[in-house]
Amino acid sequence: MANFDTRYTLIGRALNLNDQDAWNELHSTYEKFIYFLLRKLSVPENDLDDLAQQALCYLVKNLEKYDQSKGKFRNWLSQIVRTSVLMYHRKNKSNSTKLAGYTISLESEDSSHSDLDVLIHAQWESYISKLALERVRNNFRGVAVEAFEMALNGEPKTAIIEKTGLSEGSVHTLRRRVKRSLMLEIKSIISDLEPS
Amino acid sequence: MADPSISHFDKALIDILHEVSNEDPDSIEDLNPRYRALRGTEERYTNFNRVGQGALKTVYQARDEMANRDIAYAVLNDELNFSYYDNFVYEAWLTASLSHPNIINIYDVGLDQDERPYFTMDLKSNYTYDRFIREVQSHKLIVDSFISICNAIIYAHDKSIIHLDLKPENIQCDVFGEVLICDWGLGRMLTDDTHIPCSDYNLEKKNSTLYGHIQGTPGYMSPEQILANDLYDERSDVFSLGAILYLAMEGRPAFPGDVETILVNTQESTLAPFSKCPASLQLIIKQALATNPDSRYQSVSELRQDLLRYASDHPVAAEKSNLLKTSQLYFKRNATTSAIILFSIIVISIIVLTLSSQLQSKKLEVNQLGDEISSVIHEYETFEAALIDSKQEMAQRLSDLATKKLYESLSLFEFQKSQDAVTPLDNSVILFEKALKLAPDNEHAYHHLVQAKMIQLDFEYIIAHLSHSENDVIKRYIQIAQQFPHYNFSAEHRPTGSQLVAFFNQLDCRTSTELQLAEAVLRYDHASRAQSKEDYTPVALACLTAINQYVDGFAITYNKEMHSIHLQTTNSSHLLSFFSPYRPPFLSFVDPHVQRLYVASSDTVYTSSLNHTRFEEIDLTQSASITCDADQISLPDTKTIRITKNAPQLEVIIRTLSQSNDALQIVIE
Repeated sequence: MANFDTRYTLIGRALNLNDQDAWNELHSTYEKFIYFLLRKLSVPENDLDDLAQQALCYLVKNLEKYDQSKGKFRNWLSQIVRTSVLMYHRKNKSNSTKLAGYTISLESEDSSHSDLDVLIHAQWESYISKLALERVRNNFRGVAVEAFEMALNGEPKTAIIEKTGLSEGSVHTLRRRVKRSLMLEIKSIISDLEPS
Repeated sequence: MADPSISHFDKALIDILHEVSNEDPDSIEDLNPRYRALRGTEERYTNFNRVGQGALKTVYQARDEMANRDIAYAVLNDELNFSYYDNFVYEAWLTASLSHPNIINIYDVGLDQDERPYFTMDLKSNYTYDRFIREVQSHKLIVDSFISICNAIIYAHDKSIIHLDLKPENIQCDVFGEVLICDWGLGRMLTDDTHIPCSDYNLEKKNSTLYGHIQGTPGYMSPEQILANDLYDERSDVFSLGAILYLAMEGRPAFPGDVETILVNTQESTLAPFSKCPASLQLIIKQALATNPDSRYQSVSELRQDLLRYASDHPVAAEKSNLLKTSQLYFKRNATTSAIILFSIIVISIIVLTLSSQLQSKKLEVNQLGDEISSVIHEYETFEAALIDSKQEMAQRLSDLATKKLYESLSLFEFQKSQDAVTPLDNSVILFEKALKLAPDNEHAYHHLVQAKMIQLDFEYIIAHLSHSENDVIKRYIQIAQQFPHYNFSAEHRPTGSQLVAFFNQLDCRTSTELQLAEAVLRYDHASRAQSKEDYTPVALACLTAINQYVDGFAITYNKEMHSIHLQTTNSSHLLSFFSPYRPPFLSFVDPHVQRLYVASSDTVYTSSLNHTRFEEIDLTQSASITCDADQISLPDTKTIRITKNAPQLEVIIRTLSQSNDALQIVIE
């Protein structure tokens, strides 16, 4: 895989060059994800801000210490979220807690296989790909992205042709182009947000 | 377990993410296929095909994989060792330093895996200039393309680079006459004498002892190259261009025959006889091919200039322009107009003569008479056309000389030699008048003449010879002149003091144009009265008052008995010469017998406003401050300067003033 120089990624600029703008952008992107995730976990609104700030703080502080050889960023990310939730609840005198039907405890060592981790994983990936899709949307005019989204929804080709008024060839070409653009965007966001 | 709430949409989207990030390490390059190809390039140059070989280098057509295009790739011939490396790199760098649309481009210079130098350049087609000459019928196209060649060489010469091997084979061409000068292998920097070139020809003929040192191609190389005296310069390229032009015009070389014949004929400038080349071009070619470089065009620009004149049907410099030739060309340029005029004259003449002949007698045949007259008329027309051309030329020469005189005069005003400035100014007036008589529409001459006449105060002339001008300065001058329509002064005939003051009162010296004019007029007036014994002081002071009429509180009084002047002002900038702090300022027009100057200024007094004055004593105690605007001023007769002790920067002032005269005493009060 291409070894993208970290100077050209958001996280690289933040960590290696201490670029304040890069830090700000990174911070807000992670923040959005954490809120998104905590809402998914049905954290009560009362606790949401405190918990999110705690997790974010921990994440940003430890970003530099993240070591790729010990596991994937996404696993590390879910570990951080899990730890933050627990720490928060420990303050509230409880060693484990249940959120949205998930049991969260420090004891679950094999983290990558717990349901919660699978969920966090999936949410992170979904978050990234949706972010990418939003960026891609600006690169195309007309119905290109719309046609692509219909295909993602599993709509049959005939329905797409009918709804967009495009020819079969155009649908095919546009989908391919949007997909290529999306893939580049995903790649770029991953390299921006996940230290390598 | 995946969250069952994740929709089909989200799942499909995440699948794409997985496609990007996990499975296929090459997937990202697939997204960038061109980048992938560039990354995968191992050998930059591939697919070599030999397209040409000289004695020094071989040229291949090759594929530049990184730039994704075909290029020409030049390497030294295999049998040549490192002693040729430097010349090879020299050629590459020399050529690379030239960036011109008509000169071949170097893309890359480097070393191959054997550490031998190579360079890459534009891929040439086989279409060279000799083929273009053979195939193209249009005379104009050939001349135009030759001018493009000249342009490229002018550019190179401008960078002090000479080619020394210009020949049709080294000029690539397309069917439209777009040329590309190639093969700078013999080229050199005129400023670099460390380079010893080696010639293809030299290498080919290395057994020939007779011409063993030749650098160039016989038939196109200059006589000085044959002598190998190393005294080459731009004019050597002029010679080669002459030989190329000969070939272009005649379709055969200027110096035919075997090598020895060619070399002998080159040195003697014996050209093969012309057969179809137009006469004017023959002269151009002959001048370019002169044996002695001093007799050639001294630069390619001159050669091009003459070609452009030829191309636009003007007489060329190479020929001694004669009346008949000039008029022929004049008719050629203005064919339609000339034909109409000529025809009308003939028709009118025929009618007049027919009538008169009827009245007189019928001894002569009408037609015969018409022919005779028309030929006379024709001669007259020819003569007149030539006259117009030479008139313009003469007018320009006169005007140029006049301008020179005018500026000479203005610059003489700068020094203490004002008197010497009178004659050049008067001369410039005479010359401008003559130039305008010949070419009344010469704007340059008109503007300068008005300027000179303003300085003389000869407004009568300006009004009598009014001509339209868009120039604002000239418009204003004319406006001023119209207020004194009877002023017709010259160096001998000067205005009275009051006439002069009346003129100055009309000036608004807040504008620099009018301040300049005021100063020049006063200088000219003062200088032309230099012989007079009269006291100029009242005139000078009245003029100075007029110049300062817009300055509040300006007053100047002259006490004849006391030999003193009292000056009071709130703005001392109009006491200065407009032009420079080193020019004598207005106060220098005061007669030397005036011994004392008192200056009371609320504004700072500039030291240069005292420069060259002749007062014995200058009293500045009533002036708030003094500014040293000139490093040193000249005060030859001054014995005492009085300054108030409150003046800022006293030390600087004392230092500057004391340099002006050893005997000077500076009194602080």
